[in-house]
Amino acid sequence: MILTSLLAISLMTGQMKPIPDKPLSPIHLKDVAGVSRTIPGASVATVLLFTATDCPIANRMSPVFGRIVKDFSAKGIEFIYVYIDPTQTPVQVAKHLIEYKLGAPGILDLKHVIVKATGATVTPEAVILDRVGMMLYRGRINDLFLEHGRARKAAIREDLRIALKEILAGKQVSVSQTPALGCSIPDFGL
Amino acid sequence: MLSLLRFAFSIPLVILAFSFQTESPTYGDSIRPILAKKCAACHYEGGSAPFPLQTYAQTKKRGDLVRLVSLTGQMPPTDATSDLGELTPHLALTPPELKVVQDWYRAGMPEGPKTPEILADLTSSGETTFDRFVAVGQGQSFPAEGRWARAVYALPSLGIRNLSGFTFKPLAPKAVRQAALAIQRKGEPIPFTSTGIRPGTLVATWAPGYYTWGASKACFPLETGDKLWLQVRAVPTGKVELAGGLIGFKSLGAGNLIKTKTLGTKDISIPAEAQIHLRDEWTLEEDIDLLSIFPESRFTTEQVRATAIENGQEKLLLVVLTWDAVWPGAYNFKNAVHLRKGTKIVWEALINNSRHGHFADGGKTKNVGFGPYSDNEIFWCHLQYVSRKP
Ligand code: HEC
Repeated sequence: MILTSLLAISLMTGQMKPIPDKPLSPIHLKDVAGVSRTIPGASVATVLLFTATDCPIANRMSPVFGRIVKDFSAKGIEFIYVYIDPTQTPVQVAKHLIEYKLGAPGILDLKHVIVKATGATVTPEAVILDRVGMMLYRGRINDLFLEHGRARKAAIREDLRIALKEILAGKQVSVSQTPALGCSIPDFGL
Repeated sequence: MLSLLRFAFSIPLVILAFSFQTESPTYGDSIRPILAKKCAACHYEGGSAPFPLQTYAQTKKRGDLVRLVSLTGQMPPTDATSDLGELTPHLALTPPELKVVQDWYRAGMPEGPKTPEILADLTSSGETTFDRFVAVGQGQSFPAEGRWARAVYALPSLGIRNLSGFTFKPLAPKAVRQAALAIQRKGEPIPFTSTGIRPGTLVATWAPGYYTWGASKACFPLETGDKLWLQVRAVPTGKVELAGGLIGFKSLGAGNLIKTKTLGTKDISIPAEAQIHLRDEWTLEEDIDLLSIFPESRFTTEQVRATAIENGQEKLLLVVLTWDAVWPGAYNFKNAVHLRKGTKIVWEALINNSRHGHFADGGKTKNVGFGPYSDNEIFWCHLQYVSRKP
């Protein structure tokens, strides 16, 4: 009994904050390969994929990330991985990008500039921005994980894919916010 | 209905509500000892877990998850308990420990006194005590995604007469969850079926964080012409992982001979949405020393339990309260458990085939029977023991 009530509390504190109704100011940072990146980019939409080298849930999502990046880069959408752990090094991040075949550049968000501006709370999580920095989507990649330690055999709703298809079709994103489940992003005293 | 079926394993949860503490616990004083005892077998740099929990900073970074997985019983993953022997070095957290974790988290995770890094607990590696290592599965790999993967290897002849110890060092420690060794006697079929381990063929097992097989002075006799096979099971980690690794062996000149007994049945049929209880039993015809218990169960299984009943007295041999099919561990007792002739060993599994089951997808469920696929179920338990002179 007590165990269940403790859990309920932890789930409640995980409530979703509303997504910002004003555009984000542009962020200029270098990726781990030393290339300057601007967020949002010039394309129709920029997707930020929040991840960490040592979060098992984010890592298990890598093949899904890779496919989405491949399918939608071809259609002109820009992808950037945001590594949220400032205790890691650009070399670790660069290695991770290759090992997990992620297919897009990665930024190590040393001061949590991107984390704070977007309000991302866990890895893995996705944020979609339009050209002027309006947030079109924030939340999970898909619903593969039902809860910690409990995954479906396969995802039922591919939330990020659906949002991107809607954007490419010039439609409004039908579900602009979903709860993301994974390793929470600590503040690292930043 | 479910509450009736649940094994009435009495964790005195009330303690949580009634123990008072005036000062909040700190990492150095209260959390570190728990981690060192119950998590360090896996959460070290290079261990089977995805990240280390060896320092204050590493633990604080994951504070909310550490709290969550402890409270839900998700960690340690091998949360088995026995009244009769020590199974693994990292049992489930006790109610007072859970309270400490909770209080520490609520107090903002204070560090307290500075403490050194927690040392890796290499209980399951058997590093120092093994005489021989043989490489298997080189050049092969496990896929990046899916539910789990399995590889089966035929081993070269080792020239060992009496096998007395076994360990496995996977090339991909974060992916591999189990290695099992089984025997194919002359003229018999391969010991691994697509479902599991053919009853009566299990030789030894290894799993990350468990006691290594071979703690006692018992051995498994091998004859010329016997062939050994290794099965390795792995979970997807998100990247392609190297299969294979090094198998460590120990041998003895002579010793008590290890025997195996499989409880359970292939004859299972679980209706859609049903919650049922499976049971099998075995009465000992001689005194034995029980060495290990290896449950084979799948995704509709929620809990498994072995009890020993002697003269009407029930003792808990093993209970796994949160069975996790991707942690198919073999529980090797640190010291063999003596059971007397006439004792009845009962093997039970609680099956939840409802949409709320632990591994259900939340949608309607189907009838489940025994079979080779991950949406079939298995109800087997392999015991290893040696006869004991009364
Ligand atoms: C037998 C090995 C083992 C032991 C012992 C163990 N862990 Fe883990 N732990 C793992 C593995 C493997 C994973 C990755 C799980 C996965 O891939 O889903 C993990 C994951 C975790 C996670 C992340 C959970 C998530 O959902 O991503 C936390 C937090 C954690 N462990 C804490 C602990 C704590 C605290 C203890 C001790 C009380 C502990 N573990 C004991 C092997 C272990």
